[in-house]
Amino acid sequence: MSNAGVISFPSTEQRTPCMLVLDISHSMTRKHPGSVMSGIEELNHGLRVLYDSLQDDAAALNRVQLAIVTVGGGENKAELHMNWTEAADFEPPTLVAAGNTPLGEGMRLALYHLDQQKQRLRRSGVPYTRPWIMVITDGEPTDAESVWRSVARDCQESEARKRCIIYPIAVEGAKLDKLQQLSSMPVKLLSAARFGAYFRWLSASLSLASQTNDGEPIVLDASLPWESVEPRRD
Amino acid sequence: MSLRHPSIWQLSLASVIGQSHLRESLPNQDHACALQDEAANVVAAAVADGAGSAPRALQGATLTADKFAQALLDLGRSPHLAGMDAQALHDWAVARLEAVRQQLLASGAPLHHFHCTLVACVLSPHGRWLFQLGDSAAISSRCAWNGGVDRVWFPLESTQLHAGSRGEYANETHFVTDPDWSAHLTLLPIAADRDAVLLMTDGATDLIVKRGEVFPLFLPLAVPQLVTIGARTDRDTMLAAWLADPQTHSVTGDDKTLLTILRVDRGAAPQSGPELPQALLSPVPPTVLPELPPTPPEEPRQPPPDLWPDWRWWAALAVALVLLIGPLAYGMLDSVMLDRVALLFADSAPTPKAPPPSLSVVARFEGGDRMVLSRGSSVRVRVVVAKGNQVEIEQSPTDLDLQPPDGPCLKHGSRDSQTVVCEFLVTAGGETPAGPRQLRLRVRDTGLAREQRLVLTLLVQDVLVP
Repeated sequence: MSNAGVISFPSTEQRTPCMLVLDISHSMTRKHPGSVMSGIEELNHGLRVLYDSLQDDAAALNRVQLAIVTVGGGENKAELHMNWTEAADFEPPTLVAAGNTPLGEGMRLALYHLDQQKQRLRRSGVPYTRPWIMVITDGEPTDAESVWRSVARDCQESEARKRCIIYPIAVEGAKLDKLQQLSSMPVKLLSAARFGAYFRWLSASLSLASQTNDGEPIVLDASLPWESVEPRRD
Repeated sequence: MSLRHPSIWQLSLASVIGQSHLRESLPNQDHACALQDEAANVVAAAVADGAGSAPRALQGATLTADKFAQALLDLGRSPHLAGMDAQALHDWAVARLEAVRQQLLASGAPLHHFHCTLVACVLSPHGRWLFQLGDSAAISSRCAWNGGVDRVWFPLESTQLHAGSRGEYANETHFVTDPDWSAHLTLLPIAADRDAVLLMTDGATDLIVKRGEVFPLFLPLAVPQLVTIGARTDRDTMLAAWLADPQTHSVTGDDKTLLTILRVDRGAAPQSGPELPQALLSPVPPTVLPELPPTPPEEPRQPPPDLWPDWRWWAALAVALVLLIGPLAYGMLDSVMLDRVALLFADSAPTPKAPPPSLSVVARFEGGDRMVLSRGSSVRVRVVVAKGNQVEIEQSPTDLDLQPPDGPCLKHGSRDSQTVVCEFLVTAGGETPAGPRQLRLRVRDTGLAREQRLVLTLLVQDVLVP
């Protein structure tokens, strides 16, 4: 969102909101095989790639909206790290890894802020495509089991009611079966070394989604340039 | 079926593949089924639009339209229809469509592989109903008749568009194959005075409906030609030629299906009344619908029921409307359908509000952000800025071959804001491929010495060589 004193550009073009739920727990300080950087450094690099890719894509720049919920970090909690921001105003944050992985709380926060944003768009008469939630984690949720179950149910219901599409992305170390409970979309595997490729792809996909008009959401089951193909176990 | 009772309904149907489907080597995924029992005077028709992204959409659309139309024909023949209200019919339709869904499921693939919309109608002496699920549209209209069937026009205010349901999201619609499909199935009674019912998929809607309204001259132009062509195959050929016209490629890349059901039993001329000029009554430029030699009607028409006792009043109204709206509508037609230039359509974005007296800036392309360009045509950009701001527009030369205006941009001021309209001349054509182009604007606030840079995207759908 623009701050006071900065000129805003309230375009009335259709919007594609995308919420990033990013795990910045302590485990992200690990260096992964094939990478000279830690997971969090790779993630921060990826966010800068996202910024660059969006800057090169005028359609996405005018139509994509981003928000970031972080999970873990210095405060060791789930928080709205970046409120809804036009892609044109997006500044890549530098995230610091620490703490646990309250991913359930993070998803609850993401669903809440997604709903708020849809209401804002509706009120202002701006058409929008089905929002995305990209949840990226390398660990196991540390929420209480009852919290996790309730959030997973909310996520599944939100998907079934077409409130959003949740794409679960697992980085090395993620608990796949838990992550899969958040979505009907299959969990995709991402090597921490390929965060850059992932975010470049995300920018292109958002751009595509923001311009589709053929009555169907884009389903990301085609070949993914960043996807780790090696079989993994929990 | 007996031919001793010529039907009061005349059917024409065409479905043509869209350019984007051709490019992606997809088949035409629309399907339509139109059935007629002339003896019982029943028409049952269904049109289904298979989703481009679903792998077996054509199979879904075909089974859905065929099965539902057949069920509607049986229903239309039955006197029970007269006793059914909307709820009973809704239940009936849900049961029929559930059977179709089960049949699709039995083929082994998940239902979303067969995603398709549905629009259908039954026209029967026992009742007339429209069924809709998704964004395939229907149009119904009255006709005012004068003289033979070749003299027809429409009171414009009676034309109704049933656009269908689009759902919450800009790029999604509802499908027969959705989990919550039955909640989106709508039913509407079709009034007994409707003489024309059209069913279509959204590709055809794009050609006929502009900014949420039926193009005013579409029916008056199309119907007089259709009703005078006796042979169904000739009518279908004419419709198909129109839907496949290369001019339509810049409007939609989607498959296009159009079914027209026209009442043709009101043909006899009244004994007296003013003779209206033929040119006024069927003003059909050959470029709009290709002309085919009219064939005589198959059967002598029955004398019409006296449903329009006050037909002179309607005639006067229609003439007045045509005279008043004709020049305006022809102006639109000229630019929209004939001129091949200004196919500016579907500007659904609301007009930006005038900003408060601050630094906010709103900029947009006039006529929407999708257009067809040709050398010599112009692109207009409307920028609303706070009063006192100075607008400078720069463009990245590689993106769009536009020549900025020689003189200053036009300014219109209000108390708090000013609107600046800049018109760019397109200097290239032909070589530049279609696709998104950027136009970079720099808006300078002279008072505060600040500037704002904006990037507008223009989706150029085609670049034509004049």
